[in-house]
Amino acid sequence: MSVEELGPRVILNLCGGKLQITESTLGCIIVAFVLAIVFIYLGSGLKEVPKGKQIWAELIVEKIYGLTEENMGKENLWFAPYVGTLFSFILIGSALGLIGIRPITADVNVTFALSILTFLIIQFFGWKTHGFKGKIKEMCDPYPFMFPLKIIEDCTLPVSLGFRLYGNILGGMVIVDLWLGLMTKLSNYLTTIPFLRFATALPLNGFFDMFEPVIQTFIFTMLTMTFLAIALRKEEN
Amino acid sequence: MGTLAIGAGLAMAGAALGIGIGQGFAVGKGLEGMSRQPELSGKIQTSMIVGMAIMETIGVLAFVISIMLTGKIG
Repeated sequence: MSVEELGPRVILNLCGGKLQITESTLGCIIVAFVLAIVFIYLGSGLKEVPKGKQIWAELIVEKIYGLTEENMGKENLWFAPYVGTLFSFILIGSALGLIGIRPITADVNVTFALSILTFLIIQFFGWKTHGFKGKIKEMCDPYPFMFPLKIIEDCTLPVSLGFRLYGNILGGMVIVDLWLGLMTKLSNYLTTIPFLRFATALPLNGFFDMFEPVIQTFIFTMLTMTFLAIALRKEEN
Repeated sequence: MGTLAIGAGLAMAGAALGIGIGQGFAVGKGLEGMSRQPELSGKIQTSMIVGMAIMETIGVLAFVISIMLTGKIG
């Protein structure tokens, strides 16, 4: 991690530099594999009476389903697996700064991939539940000239979702890096060993690598659920 | 080149000013509601945090803009 180059490092160049494998690509694959292995392990060998790891698995699943039901209603409960996947992936991906790896969500490509996925799901299920005519009618509500405004409103959703997560995580990463650089400089006045880097960044780590990812993950999934619930809502009359 | 640096700083300053005032209002009103109805504090807190995050988007967008500007200085 260094402030001079804000983008992720390129690890592998394929096809003469056209296809680049960066740190965040590799990080995404590793996080996905680790999450899959952990959750398959937690979900294997379920018994009638929960014991050991099954208690944790049930706790996680119960919380995710509760959150989904609270925000989207009982009839849309089948979105809970998507919400849970999004939640765990973003949480682990943003908190990677704790172990000194560049957080994968500090890359605009990763966050935009996630937000465009959310956008596509919202649009797909919105058109599916309302039908073509119903959706057009809803977008022309209350006045027909609102139609272009509604299109703009729909298109700003992935942009704001993606940039919010990216900016927050990148900002935290930059601040922790600047602090470490300052500590190196200060300790260089005394000795050549950068001893001041030891443990002085812990409060910053606590805020930017533990608190901020939880809040941002919560907000990302919360907004996803809210907009999905709005798109899926049927008219009462 | 110097104007780029000033612009990057000004972008952050303006955004931070607005967001600071806005989030202050949000937290103040949220706390008011919580102290009036402590049994609803969980719900109020959730919507307060989500609202604050939506406000923060503007600041984050300004941050992205100023990073783009600083990238052009070198």
